[in-house]
Amino acid sequence: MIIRFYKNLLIVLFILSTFLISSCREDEQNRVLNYNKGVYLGEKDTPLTEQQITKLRIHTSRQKSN
Amino acid sequence: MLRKKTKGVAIGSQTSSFIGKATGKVVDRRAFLKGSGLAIGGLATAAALVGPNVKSAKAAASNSAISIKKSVCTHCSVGCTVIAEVQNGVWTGQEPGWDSPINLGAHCAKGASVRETASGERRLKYPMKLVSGKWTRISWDDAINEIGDKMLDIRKSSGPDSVYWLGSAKFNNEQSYLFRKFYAYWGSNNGDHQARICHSTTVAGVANTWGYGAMTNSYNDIHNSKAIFVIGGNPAEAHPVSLMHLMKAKEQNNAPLIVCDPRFTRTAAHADEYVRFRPGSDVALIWGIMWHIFENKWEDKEYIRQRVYGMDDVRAEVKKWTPEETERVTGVPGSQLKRVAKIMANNRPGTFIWCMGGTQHTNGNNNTRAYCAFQLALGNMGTAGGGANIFRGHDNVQGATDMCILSHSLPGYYGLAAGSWKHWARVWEEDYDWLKARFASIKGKDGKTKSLMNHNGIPVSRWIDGVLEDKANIEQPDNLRAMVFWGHAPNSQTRMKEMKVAMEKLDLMVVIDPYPTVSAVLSDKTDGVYLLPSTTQFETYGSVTASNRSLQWREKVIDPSFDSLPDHTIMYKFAKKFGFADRMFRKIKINEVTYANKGTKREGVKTHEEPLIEDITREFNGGMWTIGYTGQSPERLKAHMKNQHVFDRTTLKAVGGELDGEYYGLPWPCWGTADMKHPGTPLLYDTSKPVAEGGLCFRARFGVEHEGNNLLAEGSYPVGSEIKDGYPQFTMAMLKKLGWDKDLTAKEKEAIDKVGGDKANWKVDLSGGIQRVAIKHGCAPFGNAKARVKVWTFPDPIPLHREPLYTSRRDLVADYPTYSDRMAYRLPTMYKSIQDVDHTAKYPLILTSGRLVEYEGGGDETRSNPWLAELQQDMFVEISTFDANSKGIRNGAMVWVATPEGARIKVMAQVTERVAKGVAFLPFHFGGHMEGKDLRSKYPVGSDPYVLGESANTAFTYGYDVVTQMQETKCSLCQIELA
Amino acid sequence: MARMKFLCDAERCIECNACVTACKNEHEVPWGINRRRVVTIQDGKPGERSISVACMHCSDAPCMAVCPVDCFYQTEQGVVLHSKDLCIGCGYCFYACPFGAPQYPQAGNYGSRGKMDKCTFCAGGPETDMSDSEFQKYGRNRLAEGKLPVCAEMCSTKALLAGDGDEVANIFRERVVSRGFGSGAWGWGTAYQLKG
Repeated sequence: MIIRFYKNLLIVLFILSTFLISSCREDEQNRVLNYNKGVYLGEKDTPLTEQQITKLRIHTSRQKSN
Repeated sequence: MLRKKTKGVAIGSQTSSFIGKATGKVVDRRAFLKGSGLAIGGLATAAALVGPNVKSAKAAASNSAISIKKSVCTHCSVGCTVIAEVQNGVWTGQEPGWDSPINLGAHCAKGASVRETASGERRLKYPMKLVSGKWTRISWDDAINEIGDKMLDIRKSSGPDSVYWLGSAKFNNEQSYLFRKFYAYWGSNNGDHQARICHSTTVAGVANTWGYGAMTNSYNDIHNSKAIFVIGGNPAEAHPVSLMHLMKAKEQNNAPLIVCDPRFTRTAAHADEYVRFRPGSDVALIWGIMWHIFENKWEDKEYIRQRVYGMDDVRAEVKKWTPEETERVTGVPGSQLKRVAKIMANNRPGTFIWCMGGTQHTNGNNNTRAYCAFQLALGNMGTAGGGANIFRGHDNVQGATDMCILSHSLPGYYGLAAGSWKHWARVWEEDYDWLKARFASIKGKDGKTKSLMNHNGIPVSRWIDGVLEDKANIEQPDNLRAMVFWGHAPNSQTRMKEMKVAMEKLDLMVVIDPYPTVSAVLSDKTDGVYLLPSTTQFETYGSVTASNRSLQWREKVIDPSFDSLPDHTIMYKFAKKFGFADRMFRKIKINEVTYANKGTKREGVKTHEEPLIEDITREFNGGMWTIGYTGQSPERLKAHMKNQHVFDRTTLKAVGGELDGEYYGLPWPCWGTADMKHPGTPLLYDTSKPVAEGGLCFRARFGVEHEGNNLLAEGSYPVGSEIKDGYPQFTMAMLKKLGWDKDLTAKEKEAIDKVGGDKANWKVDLSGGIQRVAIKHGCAPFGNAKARVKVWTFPDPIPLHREPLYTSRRDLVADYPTYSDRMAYRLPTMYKSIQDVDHTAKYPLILTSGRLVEYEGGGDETRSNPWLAELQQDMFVEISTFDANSKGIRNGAMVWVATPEGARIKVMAQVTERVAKGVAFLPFHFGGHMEGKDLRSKYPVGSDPYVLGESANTAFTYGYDVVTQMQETKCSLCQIELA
Repeated sequence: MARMKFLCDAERCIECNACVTACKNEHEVPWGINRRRVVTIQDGKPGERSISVACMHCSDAPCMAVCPVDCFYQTEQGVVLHSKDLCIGCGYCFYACPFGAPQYPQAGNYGSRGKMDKCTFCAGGPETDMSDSEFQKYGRNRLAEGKLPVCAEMCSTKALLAGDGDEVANIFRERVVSRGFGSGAWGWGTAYQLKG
């Protein structure tokens, strides 16, 4: 009986351990697993530099058309 | 808002932007990806799409260097600059060409999509031959040999006139000139191009009024207009970028825009005054407006006295067009026309714009001359903001017309007289007698033998009659037996049911085009058809003439795609096959060129002999003295393209720098040799500037007097002219009389002596000396005369209204009948015999046609572009709500449109208020369906356009302008019924 | 810098579809998806007006608000972008958008909605600027090169303007002033027969 108890315990521990091992690590999964409502969790974007913004301003004024 | 906002700023990015600042460079380059997520065939269901994440990328590393090439759009005559980004020989991106004074970076849908045209999937990829109904691939050499042999065969048995060389408005200037020379060397005048069916009536009408038949001002000059009058034109769809210039005048000058069109077009939607009139009643409309002008004495009398001949005869005709009569004929109330007259009279200078709506009629030449008379009466000609601004069609139809790929003239509009041929023989350094011997002769009605060299050939609008007409009735030895469609679609000509029969009767049909075109599928021929792939203009280079007469130089963007070849390379191959290449190309260098495109579908590397474009430019610079294509050397043109930003956006004049004072593109006439550095003529007939600075007067082309009246200008002359009055065109004798021959150099005198000494005139002097000296003294080489509104050589000296051949107004036929049947351009041509038949019982609706912004011309090229094809997926007929409801037709229903000559086409009905009750409209760009039958399977595999549809011209009927044989596609009759 | 905005001047738009085609060209947008569309009202009748519409890059974007996986973000210049990696294609943003900007390619045999695609103001997406993967997923990133959206740069009549909202407004104001008082009201000239 004691042997059966420890056998069951071993089985339970074994099953439990498989769950523990298989539980996902977010950074390994390549996708968002725990959402935070209202917060963007994707890859971050690159902001525009001052240089680019100046160039954009020049382009905007070109649209004046003659 | 109930959410936290975060800025998507990467932490790492701060480092990269620092790097960016430190090195001053952007880190990555663009990638080239071949989009393959495109569905094919039957795309209306948008099936088989690929999601944006799953595109198969082909070739090209993302960090290959980008080279920038500057070209010009190959669609319409506005001539928008296209900036192409090329990586590894592949065209990967398009950027706006901001520096161009003509388009300032703008494009329309077609211009914004040209990248696909140059290397699209649906291109004709290699030479093909139809064998037992199947398209079989053959090599270039085999194709040229087989075609050449067959043609030489036909030449031997039937004469050179049995081969028709139909050329293209999409050739660049050099190819156009070469093509004209080519069929001259072949020995026939049977060659033509799209201008015949586009603005031929304009060129004839306008040139016969004041000397040159081209747009007199420019798109940019419209900025100066105080009023804009558009008739029979829809520039919002046909020349969208021109609207940018029109809008500037509308906004900044408060210029009223008047649009006269049977249809409420997209242009009319922006008009201040819209005049809806009956198709085919243009002359009546114009005379109706002028009735108010003359009644109220709003005409410019001083201008008329000095610069116009024949206005009194016009006055007499206009007197008949009272408001009541005008309303009876056109349907427009007198009150509206009075308002229009008042607007134009009160807001001068006003510009006058027209397109196919006015030209494509049996009396098209009357329409165009009426328009000219209108502008002359108001004194709007030869001034900034005024002018006859004729918007030409294809990108180089102006250039191709100037090079005269026409059946009735030689490059520069010299005509076909012996003297003209002799001039060109001199330029070509060709033996005149050898050239003459190339042509066939026939016996005239008087029994005398005449060389066909000096007689007009068959125009493109009538080529089918050249095949089908009984050969005894044609003024050439035999019927047409071979047809070459070189850059020209067949579905832009009328009577396509008969065309199918004509094609089947031909011994040989050759299509030379980047796309197969409808020619490949229209007929039931099983053999004797060849498809040769030519390149688009992006795969070669050369000059192109925009509608405002400016020449722009295109750079080559990419090497020829697939196994296509540039047109001039193909012409050289044929010339070699026919044995006259050495003669034809004696002044043109031939280079061995290897086209090697990495990363595209080319199979192996091929070498071909390509004529040098710059040598061709120089050759026509040396011969086209009549219209001043002599000063635009390749070097000058290339310099203009490099320095586009220095040109003023309204006057087109360069300010400062090396090119100071020159006009963009050296608009012709650019007088004299390139050394003379004439700046070009931006506004024709503008006397406010010296000729040396681009000023001009009306040409003395029609003699010095007519019926005792002085035809020369009276008291009007360009600023700085030493002759302060009118004068005839310049000859050596005239120079001697004026004592100006002293200014000629010895070399010039020698050249003049060679071409006839005293008799030599400004047109044949190959040194350009006569022109140079005349201009030195402030005079225009072509004389200074009055414009004539009475063209005594035309069937109707004063423009008259005549009902269309197929008219719905039988009550007007008695008062305004059409012409009598006659011979024209070698063929018997019907007028009265058609108009005499009353079709209105069975065909009560007026049928007209026009353009769509997404497509162009015959349409195979643009319908093979998925970005454009998606926007117009069905051929349709516009029908008014009244007519639709009367016939039980709902929007989107399939209907049969039937016309009196027995054709019926199956199209979708679009119920709209654009067209008036009793009028229906068909766009003409579709092809690939024939009377309900889908011909898609007949296209070579992989080259069928995405969108197919019925051709409007299957339905359109007989009718040809009495002077130029322009086809009447703006007014016919039809019946529409539910399918 | 103020927010990036589009402005389509309906007085000038002639429905030429250059903007639609330029966008397709630049980003290789497949058949069936039109990031930008020209809408015409009163087609064929007096008063016909056209306007070019794409994503308006709203300051307070409804699409961003309703997205269940929050795949949207807004750049400093006000450009609304999203991550196709996070997108689940539910279509809720399509419900929320007043302009119909979100588009879905048909993928697979059962017509399931793929990842949402929309106008990016030519600013690409969250991937590294101007990389292959950014092009594949979102199209070109012109802003990172200092270039404005190609639809506005190629507009045939300069009806469609794009860029810094303040500057765009300046350009438009100049036009309004030239057109004269009341030109903002369509049909002013016709109603009062002011011209001629």
